[in-house]
Amino acid sequence: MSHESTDIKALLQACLKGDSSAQMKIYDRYYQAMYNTALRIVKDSAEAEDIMQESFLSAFTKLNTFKGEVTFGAWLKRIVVNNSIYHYRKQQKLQEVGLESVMYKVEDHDVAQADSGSTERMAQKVLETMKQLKDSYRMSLTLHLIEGYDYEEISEIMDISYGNCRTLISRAKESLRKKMTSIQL
Amino acid sequence: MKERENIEALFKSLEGSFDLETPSAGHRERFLSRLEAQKDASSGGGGNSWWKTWSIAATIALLLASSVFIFRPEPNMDSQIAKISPEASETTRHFAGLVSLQVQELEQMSTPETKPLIEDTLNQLNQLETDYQKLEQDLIEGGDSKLILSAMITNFQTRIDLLREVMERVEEIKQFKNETYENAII
Repeated sequence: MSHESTDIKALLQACLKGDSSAQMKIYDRYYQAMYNTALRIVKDSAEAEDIMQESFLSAFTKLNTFKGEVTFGAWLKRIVVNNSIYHYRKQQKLQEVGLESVMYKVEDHDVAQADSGSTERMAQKVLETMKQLKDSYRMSLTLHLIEGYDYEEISEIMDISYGNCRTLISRAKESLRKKMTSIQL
Repeated sequence: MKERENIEALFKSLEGSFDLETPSAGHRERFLSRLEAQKDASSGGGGNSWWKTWSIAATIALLLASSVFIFRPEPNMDSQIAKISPEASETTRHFAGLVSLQVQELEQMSTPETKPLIEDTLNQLNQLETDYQKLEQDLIEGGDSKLILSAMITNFQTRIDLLREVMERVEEIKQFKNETYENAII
C-alpha cells in the first residue's frame, strides 16, 4: 500500500513537469473509477466519458494546487463529482423535451432478473434500482453510500442546507428500500 | 429503522464492486489527443503571440492571393452541370428540394419507437448523398454524360422511394401503438 502511494507520488511529480507518459499512467489507474462516478450522476455514457476526461485535464493543469491533505484519488474524485453535478444541472436546463424517452427507459428496465449471485450481480441490481429513483435521491445516495461523502460534504456539493441534505438522504434510503423489497432483492 | 441499517450494511458489503462500467472503446486514444491538444494550446500563449498573429495573417493573405489564380477557372458544381445539361440541373434542384422537405417531415415524426429506424434512414440518405457527389464529380470530369445523368436521377429516385417507405413504416408503428388495443377490446 505504502509502496503504491510513493509510486503515485513519483508519477505526480512527473505530471507536474508535463510528462505525457506519466499523465497517461495516472489516467490508466483512475479512469474506471472516475468514469463510473460520473456515470452514476449523469447516467449518459458519452457524457460521463467527456466529464471524466475533462476532469483529468483540469486536474493536470491545477495539479500544483494539490497539497496532499487527501489522497490524489479523493481529490480527483471531487473534481469529477463537481463537474458531473455541473453538467447534470446544465443538461436539466436544456432538456425540456425528452420526457417521452425518459418514461420509456423507466418502463423498459426489467430489473427483476431473479436469483442473486455474485456481489457483482448484486451491485448491478442495486445500481439498476437506484436508476429508477428520483434524480435527487439517486444523486444523494450515490454520494453518500457509494462515494462515501458525509452530510456536510454532500450539502456543499449539491448546494443545499445541512438539514435538507439529511432529510433528502433519509427519504432516499426509504425509497430505495421500498423499491428493493418490492423486487425481492 | 432496522431496514435502514440494512441498506447501509448492504452498501458496505458491496463496497468497491460498483465500478462495473467501462467507457467505450478508444477512450484512451481520445484522451491522449485531448491531452496533446491542451498542451499545444497552453504552449501557444505567451511572448511570441504578436509574431504568431502576423505570420498567420501573412499566410492567409498568401492563400487568398493564390486561390484567386487557382480557383478562377472553376465555377461551382451547379453551374458546371447546368452547362452540360440545363434540364438535369433543373431536375436535381427540384428533387433536392423535395428530399430535404421530406427529411424535415420525417425528423419531426421521431418518437422513441421510431428513432432507430429514422436514424438509420438518415444514415442511408447520407450515403446516397456521397454517392451523388461522386457522380457529379465524374460528370464534370467528362465521363459518359448520358449514363451518369441517368444514374444521378436514379439516385434521387432511390432517396425519395426510401423516404416514402420509411414514412409508411413510421405511420404503421404509430397506428399500431394508438389503435390496436382499442379495437381488441371491442
